[in-house]
Amino acid sequence: MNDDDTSCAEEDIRAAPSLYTRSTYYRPTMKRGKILKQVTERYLRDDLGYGCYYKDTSTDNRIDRVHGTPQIIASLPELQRLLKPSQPVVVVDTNVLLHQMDVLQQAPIPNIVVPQTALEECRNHRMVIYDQTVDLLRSIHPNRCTIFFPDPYHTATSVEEQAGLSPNDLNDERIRRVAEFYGKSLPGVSVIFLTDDVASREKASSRSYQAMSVRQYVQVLEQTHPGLSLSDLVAAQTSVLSSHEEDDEAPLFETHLEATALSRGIQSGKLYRGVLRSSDWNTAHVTIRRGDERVAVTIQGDWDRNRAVDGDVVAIALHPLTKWISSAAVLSLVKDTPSAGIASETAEPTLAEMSNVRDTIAVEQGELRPTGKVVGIVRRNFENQSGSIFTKSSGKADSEQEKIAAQMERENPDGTATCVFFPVNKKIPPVLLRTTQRDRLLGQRIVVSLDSWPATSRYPLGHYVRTIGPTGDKDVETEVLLQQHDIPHEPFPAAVLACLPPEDYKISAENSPGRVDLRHLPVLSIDPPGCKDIDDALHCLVLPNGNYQVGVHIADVTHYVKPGTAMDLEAANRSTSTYLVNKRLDMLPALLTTDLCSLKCNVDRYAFSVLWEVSPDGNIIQVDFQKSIIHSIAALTYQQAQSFIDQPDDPADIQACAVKRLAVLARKFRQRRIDAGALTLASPEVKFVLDSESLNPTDVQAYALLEANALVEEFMLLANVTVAKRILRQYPTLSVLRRHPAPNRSMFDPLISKAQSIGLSINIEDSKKLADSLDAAQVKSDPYINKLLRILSTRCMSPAQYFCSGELRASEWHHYGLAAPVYTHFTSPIRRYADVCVHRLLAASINVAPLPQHLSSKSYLHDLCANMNRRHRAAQLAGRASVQLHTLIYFSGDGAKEEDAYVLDVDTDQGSDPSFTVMVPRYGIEGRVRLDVAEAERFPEEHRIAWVGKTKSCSVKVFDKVRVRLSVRELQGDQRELAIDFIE
Amino acid sequence: MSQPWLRNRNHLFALCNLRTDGRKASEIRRMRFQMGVVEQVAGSALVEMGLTAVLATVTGPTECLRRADELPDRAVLQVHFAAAPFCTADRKHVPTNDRRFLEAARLVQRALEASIFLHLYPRSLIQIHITILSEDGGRLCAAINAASCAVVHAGLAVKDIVCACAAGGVDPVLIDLNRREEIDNINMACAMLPQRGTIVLSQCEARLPSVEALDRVLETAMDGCRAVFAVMEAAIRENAALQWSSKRGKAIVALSETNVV
Repeated sequence: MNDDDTSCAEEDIRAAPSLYTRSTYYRPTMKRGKILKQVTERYLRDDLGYGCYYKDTSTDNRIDRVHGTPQIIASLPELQRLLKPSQPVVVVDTNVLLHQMDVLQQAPIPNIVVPQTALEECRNHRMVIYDQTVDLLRSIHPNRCTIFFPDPYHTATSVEEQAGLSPNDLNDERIRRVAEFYGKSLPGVSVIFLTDDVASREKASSRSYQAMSVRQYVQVLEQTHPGLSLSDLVAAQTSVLSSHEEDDEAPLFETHLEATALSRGIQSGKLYRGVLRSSDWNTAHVTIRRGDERVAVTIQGDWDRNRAVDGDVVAIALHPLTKWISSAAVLSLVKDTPSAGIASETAEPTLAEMSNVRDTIAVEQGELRPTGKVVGIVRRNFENQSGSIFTKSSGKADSEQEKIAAQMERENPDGTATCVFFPVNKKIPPVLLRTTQRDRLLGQRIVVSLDSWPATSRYPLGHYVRTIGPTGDKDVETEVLLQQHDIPHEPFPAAVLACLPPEDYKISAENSPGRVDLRHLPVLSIDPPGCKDIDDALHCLVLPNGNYQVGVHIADVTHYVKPGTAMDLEAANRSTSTYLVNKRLDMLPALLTTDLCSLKCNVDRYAFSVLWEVSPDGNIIQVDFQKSIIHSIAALTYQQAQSFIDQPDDPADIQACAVKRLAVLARKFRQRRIDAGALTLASPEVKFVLDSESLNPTDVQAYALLEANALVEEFMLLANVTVAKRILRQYPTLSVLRRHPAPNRSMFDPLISKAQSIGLSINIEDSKKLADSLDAAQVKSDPYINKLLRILSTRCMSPAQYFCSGELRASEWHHYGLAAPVYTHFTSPIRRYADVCVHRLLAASINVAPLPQHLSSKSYLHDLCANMNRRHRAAQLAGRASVQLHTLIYFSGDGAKEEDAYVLDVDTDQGSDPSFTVMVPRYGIEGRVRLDVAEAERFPEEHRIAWVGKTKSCSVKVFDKVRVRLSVRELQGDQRELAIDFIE
Repeated sequence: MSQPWLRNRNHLFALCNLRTDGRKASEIRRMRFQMGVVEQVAGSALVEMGLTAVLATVTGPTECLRRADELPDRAVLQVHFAAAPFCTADRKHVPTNDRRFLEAARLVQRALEASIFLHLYPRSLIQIHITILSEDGGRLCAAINAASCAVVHAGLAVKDIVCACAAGGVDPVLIDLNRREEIDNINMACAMLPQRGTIVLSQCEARLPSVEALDRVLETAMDGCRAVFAVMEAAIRENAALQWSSKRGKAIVALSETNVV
C-alpha cells in the first residue's frame, strides 16, 4: 500500500483518462413541460482496481476518533487480504438496500459489496436508508469488510445505454456486472448476488456467481447461526402477506398513482407535492407551495389520507371549494384520554404554526381552510418505531388496542404468527408484524420497521428490528420516549468528535487574537445548583461619571463550532439540548458543554460580551458588543445570590456589591417592562428529588422562584432584545428572531367564562390589559386561584416560535408575552442552536467574522427555523414525558396518595360520562376524574355538576378545591397509567 | 437521522475520491484545440473542454471602422461575446447585449491585452468574436483559451500564450469544474501567462471562507493553467508543423506567420 498518495490535493494536475462516454437523456421542464436534451460526460477509468474501502487513518489511538479515508483496492492480493476468509462476498442490489437494511446491519454477513448504481438509486428513493448505507460503508469494523464499487466509472463494469432497455433494467444489468466482475476476479470464493427481484435472479442464473433472495440467504445463515431469529428481520413485502390475506379481498383504500403520473400531475399543476405532518391519527397537514407562498392543506379522515404516514412526501389533489372547511372549525376533536398526565404549559401549537405557514386562504365567503386528499406517495418516511405488541386477551376485549389485536391477529401455516404492534408514537398507526418469537416479545418494548402498506390491508406491514427491554423499566421507557419524540440520542459520531479542539486546548489571549481582554472585570455567574453548562455571566461596575457599566458575557460557542463542520451540522440537526429528569442530552459534545464553553469560575474563558453603560435611574446610554476573554470570579447559585441581595451593604465584598447593584437595576428594568405590558405567567412545573444511586424519585418539590432568578432573567432579556435590534439593523431579512403571536380570542373564551362564574374578569384586548386584569383577579381566601389563572391563560396562547425576519412583515415580529417589538435568543448557545446562529449574525454585523454563506440563504433559514421549532417542541414534550414516567415510578413505589386538587374544567356536555378535570399543584399533575355514577345534573353557565354520591350528594364547580386520590393502575402487558379518583 | 437540508451533497467524493463525472480532484477535462476552422478570417480556433465548446475568430489588424475609434499609438482590441441558442439544454435565444456576456467580453479583452503587442499595430483594429457553441461549465476559461489560440493562429505578436483554467470548492479543491459542480461550489476563474508566471485575470463571485482557502484555490487554478498550456502548446506546434508541411507541398492555403514563443 502506498502511503504517500493519501492526499489527493498534493497530486499533480493532469488530464482526465482518455476513455469517456457521453450520455444523453431527455427530461421535461418543471414549468411548461418542454422537453430538454441534457448531455453529461463520464470518464471511464482503469485505475479503480477492486473498489474502495475505508482505511483507518487516525493517527492517535483514541477509539472515539476513529475516522478513515477512502482507499482504492489496487491489487488482487490486497483484496484477498481485506476480505474475511472463507466467507462469501455478497453483492447487494437497490431493493435489498432499501428494504432489508436491518438484515445487512445485523446478520453475520462479513463481506458486503455496494455498487454505486445501487447506492444512487437508494439516494433517489429513501434518504434515511442512503445515510445508513453510507454509514455502513464508512464504518471501520474489525469483523466486517464493506466495499464501495464505483461501477459507472470502472472500465470493466460500465454498461452502455441500449435502446429498448428501461433505466431500471439497465441499473440491474450494471449491478449484475459488478457481481460478475467479483465472480471472475475471485475464483476460489463464492460470490452471492442478493436480490429480491425474480427477473434479475433468472438473468443471473448462468453466470459465475450465485443469485439468491434475501429470505433464501437468511435461511442459509440460520443453519450456521441458530438462535438469532434472523428471519424476523426480513422485511414483509406485499407478496409475503398474501399467505393470510385473501388476494381477492376488496381494496380498503384508493390505489396510489404511479410515479410518472404523479410527476406529470405535479408539473401540470393539478397535484401538489408536500410533506405530510400530523399530530395524531385523525388530522394531517400538507404544506404546499402556491406560487411563492406556502399554505398548509388539511387532510381529514382515513380515506383522504390514503395510507400516508407522518413525514411522507405526498402528492395531493385539492378538494373543490365546497368541501373546504371554515377556519373556525376545531380540527382535533379527540378528547383527552382518561388517564392523568403532566400538566402542559402552553397551548398545543397547530402544525401550521410549527412551520410558520398559513393554513387558511381568504376567499369570498371569508377565511376557509383548504382541504385535499392524498393521491400518491412520492417518498415514504418509514422510520423505525418503538412500542409493544398487544395480543387478544382471554376475556372480552375492552381497550381499543385489544379490539384491533383480536381482529387482526393470525397464526400462519409456516409456524409464524402475525401480531399487531402499537407504536408509542401516536402519529403512526398500528403495524402488522410476522414473527417466530411472539411469546418472547410480549411485555417487551421492541423496535419495528415499517415495510409496505398494500391497499388491501387496513394497517401497514412491518418487521421486527430489535428488543429494547421489558416494558415499564425506567431506562427502557426513557429510550422509548426519546425515540417517540424523535430526539437524537445516539452518541456523537466520530466525525463530530474529530472537530473538537484537543483536550489540553489552552484558553489564552494568544490562541484567539482580536479579543478584548476583560479578565480584570469581576464577572460572576448565577445558576441553579449543580449546573454544568454555564452559558451566561454578569458583571456590574460603577464608572467614574456615576453611571454603571453592566456586562452580560455569553459563552463563545462559535469559536469552537465553525460553520459547516460536521459538529455544526450535528448541532443544527439536534437544535437543542434535551433535559430529562434523570439525564441530559447535549446539543454539543461534553468537552464543550461542560468544560471549554462553560463559564466556570476561576478559569479564563472566551466569551461574547454585551456591555452597556446604564445611568443610575436605569436608562441605557450606550451599548457595545465584543468578543472577549473573561475570568469569572464566582459561580453562584440562586440561593447564594439571593443571600447577597438580602444581606446589608458591605463595600468590601465585591461580589455582594455587584449582585446588589444588578438587583437594583433589574427591578427598574422589570418595572419598565411590566408598564409596557409584559405578562407574568406561571408554570405548574415541579422537580423531583432523585435517589443518588438508583436515580429513582424520592420526593417532589416545587420550584422556588427567588429574586435572583428574576435578576438573571431580566439581564438575559435585555441582552436578547439588544442583540435582536443590532442584528436586525444589519440584516433586516436574514435575522433569526423569536416571535410570540397575540392570542386568538376564541382560545380565551372558555377561560373568560370560567373566571366570570367565580366573579373575576379577564380582559384580553392587549397584553397590558391582560396583565392588569390578571393582577386584579384575586380571591382573598385562596391566593392559589391567581396562579391557576395565570397557568390557564398561558395555555390559551400559542407558544413562541423562531422565524427568519425576511419571511414575515415587521408587524408580525412582535413578542406578545414580553411586549417586545423584536426578540431573539442569544444567551444560551451551549444548549440552543438558534443562539449559535444569532452569535454568527452578531459577529458578522460587528465585523469580527464573515457571515457564513448558508446563513444568507432565506430558504435555508426557513428550514432551519422550522427544524428548531420542531426540535424545541419535541424536547419540551420529551421532558414532560420523562416527568410523567418518573411520576408513575414515584406513585407505584409509594402506593396511593391523597392530595388537594383544583378543578380546572367541568364536563357539562350532555350525554358524556360525568367527569371533570383537576390539577394537583403538589405534583404538577393534571387529569380527568371520572365519576362512578351514571347520572349527574349539569349547569353549563356555572361550570358546575352535581350528583348523588355513595354517602351524600355532591357538587363540583370550576376552581373548587377538592380532595383526590392518586394511584397507579395496571394495564395489559405491564403497562401502567396514573389514575385520579374523587374522594367525597 | 439528519434532515435533508443538512446533507452534504458531495457524497461520491467522500466514498471513493471521485467527482460526479469520474474525474479525480486534480484532473482537468479532456481538451481539444483545432485551429483554422474558419477560413474567412485571419485566425480561428475551436476549443473543447469536456462538453464546453467555444469558437473564437480573429480579424485584423484592419482599419478602424470609425475614425474616432483609432488610437495613435496602438491597436484597438474589441471582443464580442455571443452564445448559440443551442448551447444549453434549454434552447433559447440569448441577446448579445446580455450583461453577463458584456462582462465576459470585457474580461477576455483585458486578459488578452496583457499578452498581445498592441503597440505594433497602431491605428488599427483587432476584433475577436467568441461564440459559445456548447456550455458545460468553465465558459470564461474556454473563451479565453479559444481567443488566445485564435490570436496565435492569426499570427499576431504576443508576449505569451494566455491560458485559463478554473478551480473551486474548498475541501477538496477541485479543478476545472463542470456545470454541475459550478452550481454548489465556489468557482474561481484564473488566466495567466504561463511562461512568465503572471496572473492576468482572476475572478470569483463567491465568498471564500478564508484567506488560506484563497491561496489554495488560486494555486490550484494556476497549476491548471500550466496544464492547459501544455496541451495548447502541443496543439499549436502541431498545427504550425502541418501548415509548414502543406506550404512546402504547394498547397493553396493562405498562410499567416505563426508566432510561437
